[in-house]
Amino acid sequence: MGKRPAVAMLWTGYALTAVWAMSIRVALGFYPLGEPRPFLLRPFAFSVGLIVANAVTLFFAWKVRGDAPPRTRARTAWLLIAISAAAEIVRYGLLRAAASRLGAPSPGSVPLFPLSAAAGLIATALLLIAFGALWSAFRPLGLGRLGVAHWIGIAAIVATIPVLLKLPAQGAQALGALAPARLPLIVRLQQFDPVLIAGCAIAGIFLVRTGKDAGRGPLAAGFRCVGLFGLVRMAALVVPLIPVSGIQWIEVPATGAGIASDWLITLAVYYRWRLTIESRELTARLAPD
Amino acid sequence: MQHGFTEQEWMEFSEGAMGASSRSRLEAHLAVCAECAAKLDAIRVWHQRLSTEGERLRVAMELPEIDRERMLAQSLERIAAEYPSAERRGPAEALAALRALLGPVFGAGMIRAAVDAALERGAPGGINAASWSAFAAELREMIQPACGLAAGFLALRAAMSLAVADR
Repeated sequence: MGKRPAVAMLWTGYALTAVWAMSIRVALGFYPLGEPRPFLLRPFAFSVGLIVANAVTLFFAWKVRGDAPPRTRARTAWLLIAISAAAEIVRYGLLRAAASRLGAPSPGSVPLFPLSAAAGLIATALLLIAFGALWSAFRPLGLGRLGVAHWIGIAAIVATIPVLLKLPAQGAQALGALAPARLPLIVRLQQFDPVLIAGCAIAGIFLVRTGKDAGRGPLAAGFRCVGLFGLVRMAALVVPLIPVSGIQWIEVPATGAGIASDWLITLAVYYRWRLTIESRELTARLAPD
Repeated sequence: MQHGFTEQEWMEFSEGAMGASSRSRLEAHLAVCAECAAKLDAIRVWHQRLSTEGERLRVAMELPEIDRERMLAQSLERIAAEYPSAERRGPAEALAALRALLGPVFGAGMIRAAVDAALERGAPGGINAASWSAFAAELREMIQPACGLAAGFLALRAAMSLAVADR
């Protein structure tokens, strides 16, 4: 498949998953948690889209890892991204399993929620480390030096962290019937989730700058996707906190875009794989007859 | 070397990448030397043509496979045709051709940074025919850790496909 159709397919996957997530969010107003609802509007139905995104990420990240020289930061980064995608698949698989058992008399579904939360935390932490490793791989070339505007952006993200740290407690209250299904350790660990997301947003700034320094091409396009990933994840956290009337109209699309943002990592990994493909094609062209 | 200026300095001047003091020294010389002014014009025209081919290559990467193959072949033929003949080919011109060839794949900034780092390590005394192979090997070493084995091999192959003579 050519580059353009593949990229269009991945963006379509992102849009569909985001719209799906938004529909489910809106449906919460009509069908309270635990009430029967149409299959496509069940709370975790959209996880199918995210499982597909992470499966594609895992496939390409593993191939890119194979193209990176041994014992390099880039190879470590792509390995971590592949493991992160695998952890996300486990996470959404567990969520589906937990959701399918919701309301059933068996208490067997209870540990599935904390396990899925733990998988989500691990996935985000691995992504953050991977982004740092990727940036450091380009640093010896002098790419990715930040300007004043970047530091202002980072300061703004850091300034929101104290507010974001209060979010999981509010989230636990909002969960209502599901709250007892969380283990105290997981709840404590989840308090760091916004910090990890803020870290990903900051790493995104570093990588966007690296891509800008690199110039046009698949490398820069991939780094822009990572930057967008950090941005939409942060927006999904921050927008609901903005004390403006009517913010709920922005909150729903922001949440949908944030939930579906795994597709942006898929796009970033695919763009990086294109660099390998294009390098091989041009090398073949330059091969002596 | 022409009138005290190296090939590298001529290319840096034409790309606007030269330091302020060297630039004013070269500008002062250009004001009184018709031969060097003509040389600079030729370098600029040639550089513009390479940039155009580089842009065509970048566009080719976006096309379906059949069209991409055709456009790649045409661009590489045009670069070869525009390229100065062997007796006139200098290392700086080869560097410009290398940048035009690899820029569409890696990004112009990435290639500029990798070439600069490779020149510093592989040809600290200045680029010439003797140091070109060492430079090409260093270029591969610069690109490979960040962009992968295929990208590093492309950089090496592209550099070694350009025969370089001292001028």
